[in-house]
Order: sequence, then structure tokens, then C-alpha cells
Amino acid sequence: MVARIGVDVGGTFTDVVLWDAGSDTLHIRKVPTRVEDFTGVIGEAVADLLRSVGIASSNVTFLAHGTTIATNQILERDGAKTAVVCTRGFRDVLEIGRLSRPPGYLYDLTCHLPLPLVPRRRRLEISERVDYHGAVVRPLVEEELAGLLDALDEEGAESVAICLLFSYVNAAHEAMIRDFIQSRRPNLFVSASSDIMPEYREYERMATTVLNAYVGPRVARYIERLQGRLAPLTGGARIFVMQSNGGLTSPESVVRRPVTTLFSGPSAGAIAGTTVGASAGFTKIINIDMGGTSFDVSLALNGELVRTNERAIDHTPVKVPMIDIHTIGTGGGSIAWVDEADRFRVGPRSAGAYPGPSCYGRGGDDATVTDASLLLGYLNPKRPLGGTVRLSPGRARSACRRLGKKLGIDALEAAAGIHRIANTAMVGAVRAVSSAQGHDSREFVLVAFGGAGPVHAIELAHEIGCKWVVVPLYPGCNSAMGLLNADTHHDFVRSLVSEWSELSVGELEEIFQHLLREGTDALTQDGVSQRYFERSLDVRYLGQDFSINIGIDNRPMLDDDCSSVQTLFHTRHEQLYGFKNANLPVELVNLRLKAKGLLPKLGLSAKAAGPSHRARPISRRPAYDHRSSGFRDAAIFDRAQLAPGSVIEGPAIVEQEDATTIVAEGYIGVVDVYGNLVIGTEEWHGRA
Amino acid sequence: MDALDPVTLEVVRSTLLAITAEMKSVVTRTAYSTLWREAGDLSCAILTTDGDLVAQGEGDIPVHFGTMPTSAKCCIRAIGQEHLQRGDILFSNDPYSGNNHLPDFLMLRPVFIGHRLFAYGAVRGHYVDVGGHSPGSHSVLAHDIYAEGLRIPPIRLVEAGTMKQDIIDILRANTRNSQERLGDLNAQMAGCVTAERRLIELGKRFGPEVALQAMQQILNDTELEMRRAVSAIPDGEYAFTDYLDDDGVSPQPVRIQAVVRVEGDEVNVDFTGSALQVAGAMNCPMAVTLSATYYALKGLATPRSPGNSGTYRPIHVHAPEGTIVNCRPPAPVIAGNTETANRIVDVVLGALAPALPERVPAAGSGSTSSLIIGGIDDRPGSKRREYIYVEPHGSAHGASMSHDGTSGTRVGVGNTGNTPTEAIEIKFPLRVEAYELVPDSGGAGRTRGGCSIRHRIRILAEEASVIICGERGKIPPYGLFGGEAGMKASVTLDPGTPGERTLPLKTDAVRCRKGTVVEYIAPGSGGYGDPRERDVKLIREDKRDGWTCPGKVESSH
Repeated sequence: MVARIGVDVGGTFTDVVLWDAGSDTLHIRKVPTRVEDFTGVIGEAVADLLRSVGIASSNVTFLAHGTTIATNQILERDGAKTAVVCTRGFRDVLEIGRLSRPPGYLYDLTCHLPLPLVPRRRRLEISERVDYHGAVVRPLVEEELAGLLDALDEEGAESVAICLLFSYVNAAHEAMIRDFIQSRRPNLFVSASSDIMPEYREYERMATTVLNAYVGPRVARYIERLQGRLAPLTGGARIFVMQSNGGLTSPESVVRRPVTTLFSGPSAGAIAGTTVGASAGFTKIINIDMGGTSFDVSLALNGELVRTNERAIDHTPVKVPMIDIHTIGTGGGSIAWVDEADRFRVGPRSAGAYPGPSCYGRGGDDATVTDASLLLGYLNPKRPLGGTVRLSPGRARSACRRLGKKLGIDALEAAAGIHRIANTAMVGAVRAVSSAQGHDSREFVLVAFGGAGPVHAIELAHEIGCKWVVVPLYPGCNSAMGLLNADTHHDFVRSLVSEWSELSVGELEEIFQHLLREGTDALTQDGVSQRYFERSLDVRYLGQDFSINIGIDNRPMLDDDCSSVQTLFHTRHEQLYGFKNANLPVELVNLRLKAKGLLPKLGLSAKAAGPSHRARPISRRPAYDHRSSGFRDAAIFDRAQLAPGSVIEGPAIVEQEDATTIVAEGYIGVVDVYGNLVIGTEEWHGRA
Repeated sequence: MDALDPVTLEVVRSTLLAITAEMKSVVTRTAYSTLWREAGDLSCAILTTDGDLVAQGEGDIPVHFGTMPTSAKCCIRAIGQEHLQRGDILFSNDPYSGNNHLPDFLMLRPVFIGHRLFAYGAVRGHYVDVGGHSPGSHSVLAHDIYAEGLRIPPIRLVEAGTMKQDIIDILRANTRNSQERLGDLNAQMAGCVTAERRLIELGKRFGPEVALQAMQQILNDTELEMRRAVSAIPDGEYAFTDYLDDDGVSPQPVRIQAVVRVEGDEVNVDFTGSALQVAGAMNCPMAVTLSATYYALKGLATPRSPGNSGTYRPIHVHAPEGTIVNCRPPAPVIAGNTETANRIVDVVLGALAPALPERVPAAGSGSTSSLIIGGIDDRPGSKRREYIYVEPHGSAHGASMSHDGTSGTRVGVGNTGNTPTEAIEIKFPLRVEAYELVPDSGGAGRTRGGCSIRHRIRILAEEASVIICGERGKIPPYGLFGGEAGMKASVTLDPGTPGERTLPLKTDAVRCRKGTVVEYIAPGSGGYGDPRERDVKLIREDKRDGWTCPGKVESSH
């Protein structure tokens, strides 16, 4: 008997999923998060679940964790007292950034932007200089090192980010400083940019290194507490933590590079959504994850999630490889309001979990998306949300009535309007990752999860032209599910900006060998034996700033590879951007290595395909239909009673503890052999 | 016609904004130049059949905001709306036809539903070079518009889906690095096509009648919002005068004067009394003056909501023809858009400071402060390629009643970003010796001005041309209510050496030898309120952070 556990901590709920391999069953637990004691809640929930299922801690072989601990420190600005050490003349790079104002600040005449995480007094300079080839133009003045220590002591710094110009080509000076500080102040948390992100562009590299140092000390303490808490419950099983790249990693590596975990939870959700979409037989997948405060979209092609190397958090760039998740502030708690010009608006302000929507009865009195869902008949007032929060239709109605009054419409029109406006924002977000990136959204399936995702999925699918919607078995615990479906995954990069004709294969191979050593070390630390490496190169036309990632075989490079990479680049450029120019010189920017350690996946086997049968509703209630702008009598189903082969005809609502799914009129839902609810239009089913 | 319900209206409004965002993604994703892909020097918009701007991208360039409708209307008038066909793209960069300056090209796509004109999709982008006599097409000393580069009056670049190849050939023959220009041009067209596809979807979804009605209603609502905000400004007549240092040709300061009359929910801005148009390229075509005035007033009245033509219906601008703020052809205009436009903002804001002391900040840098270095890259392996390095430096926000000014951040009507040092040194034969903020460049005050940027660059090639286009070297950014003025800008060659030499802020192609250091110190910004009232704790903090140097503080506090 073997058990594997996934634990995802969100702002509102902590979700625990346990897979019992012996009986091939899943158990879930959803408990309220206590912000002041994350690990305590985790410990209690895991212990409680093990006890109720009757599994001994010695049988737990694996536990994976999704966390927002690093993210919260940045958003709440309560990270470590961090110092920066940089090349003389560049201490203000962190403050100047890229000089331009972010959208939303262009007409703000006072332009009061958040200050950098490190104030100027703790941005220290050292005399040294390396050029773009890595040649030392000015040796590091070692006499200045002692002065650095004094300054760190005087300022009471708890962590240090070292970022020197061109350290991605020659890290010697950064290493000297790092070693010097570490040997004399072993308690300081020190991050060198060449260790965190050896990639060119000093601001982005510095900002990323600073984020790492800023969240580092607390993440280290958290991981230590977590391990202590879990050790007696999991019988010493390996613990893994989810990173923004969708891969798990060891606690040791998280403590060194916490910046890789900033988007941990949403990434796990995207991994799970992609697995679900693939299990239902789809190759082009749009994942939508709608919770209380945000809506996250990601896109997967042939089972591979689209990735990005840069994203911002609180106006600070994070430049590490990660799943490209587009986030907007539309969630169940988004507040509807009337603006200065009497326009009907929804969000981005959110009622969050506390006080939450009006219908939670915790003191909130603004009309939110969730209040609208309740009024439109989508949510069942008799079924507490997440098993704990009772919903009050009366409060939802009065909130919508108050809003409607300002707009000259009734409560119901206001509620339907909230949905349409929120849906429009979400459609925009889906387009931003699909059609705006050159994909035809009509060819994709929508995998909908998060507590609120399946409420809105059909309407979104209708607007963007998706023919199918898939709702996983536990849509409200999807991130925790994703934790059981991931591999360990580490990304390594080295910039080598050079015109292609100037490069030698030997030079490239040497760097790849170095990256492979780093990758092997990381996977050894993960304790995984099945290993898998992927090499790739970022290539661009000389003079361009954006590069294209070209995958190459994982074997020693041959002379021929140089010309084949160039050919691949031209072809790929044409595919992506509609033009190529074989006469233009091509330039290498980065060498990349993905190191993956294969882990056993959630081994849910396909259930026997039951005979197609009409599911039996547990009740009926009127629910709003957006197409006809009126109520329809909807059949209500209990997800727990559905089995493979169950067929549901819209208008219908499928209820379960962690989410509600709307199947609009004209749609049919079928439960597949993995328990996914696959929803399509009647028309399509007829042809299939 | 029945009034539209508030939900449909909001859905149409946010869909139009989402279309502009999608257009921008498509353009930046497919563009060729760094300026477009990374610095994002372009704007995307939807216009009504009348050529009114109904939606513009949220992060787009403010100085493009006012010129979208003026240039679109000139294009529509020139071609004749009745001659427009499905698949056309109109094209122009003519500052005397409603555009900003020659590098900024407008592309306009009429969108039809059935046979009926429904709307326009528009993309304006800054082309790095449009010919003229120096690299980057940025010479303030061009004596007329003909010397500034290639001028394209409103034309049809694409007719019923067919590209006019001759025009492409002309562009190619008249611009430096033309490969890059044509790559960007393709991207710009892709943005127009995206607009068309989405607008047709929108029209079909709601029915063209409803969608058209919604667009009009969106303009009316925005107008209403603006009128309400203007009503909250105390009525009165407010005057202000500020100066450009000079026009680069003769040393006299150039006067810009405005009288702002607020009456109920309308604002009149009268620039009578401003200097006559000048010989150097500091002149503003009317469209740029409008853009700058709208920017300042929108910033005061409705900074958070997306603007459109409705925003400026309550604004009336009078700028006498033949002056610096409404020049006649063939006056040169390149820096009207980058420098004078910012001074117009300073003047309009300065005028309203007594009326809105809690909203008007002291003067920001008020200058784009462009540095251009061009020449031949003679580093080994670089094959003696031609290069053009263009960098904006204008960088400090003035202090406001509640906050110190923000340092090292673009201010005013432009918003293009910088080039990373590591990118500069890889791409160009240059070494950056410092890129940092300048202590004491923000004027002292109860709240102090933001600090500006010092950029020191050493030339590593045998020879290079240095071109400078900046301002606020003689007349500093003003302080308010007792706050001190910000530091003046300067450009120095080989600072701190016996060969040290100051360059004028309008410098056309100075030849510099290998090893020369160019140091640009951008203008600082003004302080707000009496420096003696500054919180002692903040003075101490400033000292610790090195924002003020010892000695200087004591003298002003």
C-alpha cells in the first residue's frame, strides 16, 4: 500500500489530495488557510486525512507542495532587509529599471510607483569591470571588500544580492564577493546573479536576484518548519516543492533559489489541466483557472505548456523560465461598481475571502461575481461553499439591487450584467494568450477549474469559439492534483551573445557540458534516477532583441549542427512571424538546458467505460440562460453520483463540494473513463 | 433610438479596449526593430467612421493620443471616404496632415460590414530612421521639413488588398537600415488586419447598428466624465509662461505662454503670446500641441480612465498659426514632438497649479533628452557595419503635495524605455561607464523633486557621430509653492580631463574620436513647498540614501 500526497496552499483554502495506490482511489480535503500558521494547517489536514483513510505514515512515499510563501512576501513587502552589491556606476539600475512607466501610470502626473525592494543606502558599489566578451577591463579592487562588510553590518542586512555587469560571461568577480561575504558572515543569505540567472540584461538579472535574496531567508525558515511538521506524518518520504516552471524540486534547491517558486500554485493547476485535457484526448488546450481573486489562463500544445522567460510581480521583472500564465483580477470576489461616468464596471477590486462577497454574510456588502452566480441560480444556497461557507441569497439580492438602482436596472439584470462583463474581461485574457499569440482559439479545448471556472466556462467557450469544455473530477482542488502529476524540472541557462559565424562547436559543447553537470547535480539532489535532458538554443537575427528557442538533440554537438540550427531558425521565424531572410546574419543569445527527473504520476487507471446512460438529476431549479436572457428549469446533478458514460443534457447544473459546473441549454456533458466531464454542443455530439 | 442598456455598453467598451491590446501584441510580436519589440514605441486605436478615437491601448504613447484622430481625418479627407474599399490601408507621416513628426507613421484600416463602413483600426509607430541628413532622423538643426527625411502625405499603401510595391521601393531607397523598417511595416499591417477581424466579429455579434450606437455612447460617456471632472476645477483664468532654452540655431529662449480659462465644464486654452515659429526643429504642428494639451488636462481630470475623443470635447485650444505651437510648412518639427510638447505640458500644468495645488506637481524633466551615436562598428568580427544607437534620458518627476518626485522614470508625453548596458555594449562599439541617478538633481522643497540620470559612455570605435536633442540646459524645471527648481541638463565630452568640453543640448553630428567619453546629465525636476518645512526625518533619510550631498542640504534647509 503506497500513498502519494499533494498539498496546495491558497489564500483562502488549503487543499490536500491523497492518492491511495492500493485501492486506486483519490481522497481530497479542503480546509481554510490560516495565514499566520500555514504549516500548522498543512500538518493538521494531512494528519486528519491519513487518519480518516486509515493509511500509516510509513506508507506515504511522496509529498509535493504548492506554496505562495515567496509571492506573499513580495506583495506584502515584508521580505528580508536586502542589500545589493553591483559594479561601480550602476547602483541605481534597480530603481531606474527600463525607464518607462508601466501601463496605468501614463496619465498619473505624480507617478507614485512602488519603491524598489532595496533602498539606495543598501545598494553598494564595488570597483571592477568585465566587458561583453568576459575579459577583465578592471580587476576587482579587493581592498574594497572589507568596506562592503562594514556597510552590510551597519545597515543590518539580512541578505545580499550580487549583480555585476557581464557576470553571465565571467562570474569570477561575483564569486569572489560571494565567497568573501559567505566566509565572514555565514548567516547572511547571499545570491549571486550568475548562480540565479546567468542571462544578459542587467536590470532584469539584478531584479530577479534581488527577489531571490528578498524572499530567501523566510522561505528557508518556512521550509525548515514544514519539513519538521511533516516528518512524523510522512515517515520521512521525499518532499518536493512546485516551481513556476511546472516542475517539482527538492527543498534544498528551493531554499537556494526561492525565486523559482513565485507562481507555484497556478503552475501546478496548469499542469493538472493539461493532463486532464490530454487524458480526454485533446492536443490543443486552454486552461482556465478562476478562483476568488484572479483568473489565470495558460495554453498547451501537444501536451506541452507554453512557457515564458519573463513575467512581472508588483512591477518587478522575474526572469526565470516558467509556464506562461496570463493573470487578470477577475474572480468570484470581484466587485461590481458604477464609475464616475455611470459606467457599469466589474473588478479589479476584489472582496477576497474576507469579508468576501455579500452572500458570505461576513460583512461585505458589495455585489460580486459570486453574488451574481447565486442570484442567477447557478450556486446552490443549501450547499456550503467548500463545505464551510453558507451562502445567503437574500444578501446577494440586496447587493445586486443596490447596484442596479444606480444603473436603472433591476437586481436580476444587474446580476446577469455582472456575469457578461466579467466574461468579457476573461475572453480578453484568453485571447491574449491565444489569438494575440497567433493561435486559433477555435481549435482548442477549454479545461476549466478553480472554484468558479466551471461556472463561466461554457459562456467563455461560446464566445471564443471553443467546441469543447472539460471539467476535471475535482476542479476546486486542481492545483493539488497537479502536484501529483509533475516531474522534477530544472532550467539552466547561459548567455553567449555572438554572431553565429564567430562560434565554434567546441565552445558551445563546453558550455553544455557545464550545464549538464549542474543539471545532474540538481537531479541527484532530487533523488530521482530516471533522468531526461533537453538542449536548446535561443537564436535571433543580428540586431533583433527577441529570440526564438530552437530545440536540439541531447548529444555532443557536431560541426553540421551549426548549419542545421540556422536553417531551423529561418523556418521557425517564418512560421511564427510570417517572414524570414536567409541572407541576414544570425546570432546566438542563450544556451539552455532542461533537466527533468521522471516521477511516478498519479496512476489513476481508466475506469471501465460504462454504457451511455442518462444521469438522474437530484433536483431541479431555475437557472439563468444568457442566450435567451431568461430563466430555464435546470436539472441538478450530483457529481459524486456520475459515472463513466453518464450523459447530462443542458440546461443542467452539476454540483460538488469544491465547484459547480453549468451546462447551458444546447450543450451535452458526458463523463469519460477518467471521470472528466466533457461538454460539447448537441450538434457536435450528433455528428460524432 | 432607445438608449443602450449599461451592460451592452460596457461589454462593447471593454471589447474595444481588448482589441487594441490584441493589436499591440500582434504588432510587437511580429515587429523587427528593438524600438517596437522592446521599447514599445507604438500605439493602437479604434476610430469611428467619423475618425474619432473611441479606444486606445492602455499603455500606449500619450503623444499619439491626440494625433490619432487628426491624422486619420486628414487621411480620410484626402482619399475621400466614398472611395474607400474593403482591404485598403491608408498611410502617412506628414506632420502637416495631422501627424506628430516624420518618424511616426500612421496606418489606417477602414473596416466594412457588408458594404457599410463600420469603423477604423489604426496603428501608429515610430520608425527608427526615415532618412534626412543624420542617422536616426533626429537633427534639430534641419532647417526645413525636407531636410528631416522622407515625407509621405496621406496615401493608399494597400488598395483593396493589394500592396503598392512602388511605395515600398521608395521607403527602402530613402531610409537607413531599411530591412528593419520594412519588417516593422509588415507588423503594423498585421495589427490593422487584427483590428478588422475583431471589429467585424463585434459588429456581427451585436448587430452593426447597436455597435455603432454603443461607440457613440462611449464617446458621450467619456465626455460626461471629463465634464464632471472639469466642473470640479475652480472657475477662473490661469496664465503661465515657460521657455525652451533656444531653438538650436540662435541663443534666444523661446516663449510658450498659455491662458487657461475654466468655465463650468469647459476649458479654453489660449496660446496667444507664444513665440513665432523658429528656424530650428522645435516647432509643433497643431496636432502635437493638441496632444500635449490633452495629456496635461486628462492627467489632471481623469488620469485613471481610458481616454478617447470624448475626453477632449470639453477642451478648446487656440494656437495662432505661424507660432511655435502651430507652425506653418515647411518649418522643421522633429523635436516639437519630443521636447516642445513636454514644455506645453509644463505650461498648462503650471497655469492650473494655483487652482489644483493638490494635483499639479512641480515641473518634471520636461525633455526626452535623446542621445544618438552613429557610425561604423569596427570591432573585430563586426564587419564594419553601420549602427545607430538612440537613447532617451528624460527621467525625473517633479514633487507633488503628497510625495517626493519619482526618480529615473519617463515623464510627460513620451514613454519609450532605455537600452540595457549589456545590450548596448554587445551591439555597439561603446562602453557604459555609469548609468546612475544624480544626487541633488531634484529641487529641494517640502517634498523634493525626483532625481535624474547620468549616463557616461566611452566611444570604442575609431570615429563616431554624436547627435544630441535635449532641453532644460539653461532654464531649469520649475519648482512650485516655494520649492526649488531642478538641476539643469548638460552634455560634456571627456568630463574631468584637460580636454573637457561642453556640448550644446542641440548638437548635430559632432565627430568624436576613439576613447572620447560622452556624459549626458538629464534635467532634474522641481521641488514643492518651502524646503524649510521638510520633515527632519526625511532629510536624514535622504542623506543616508545619498539623494542629497552633505553641505547642499544645510544651505537649502
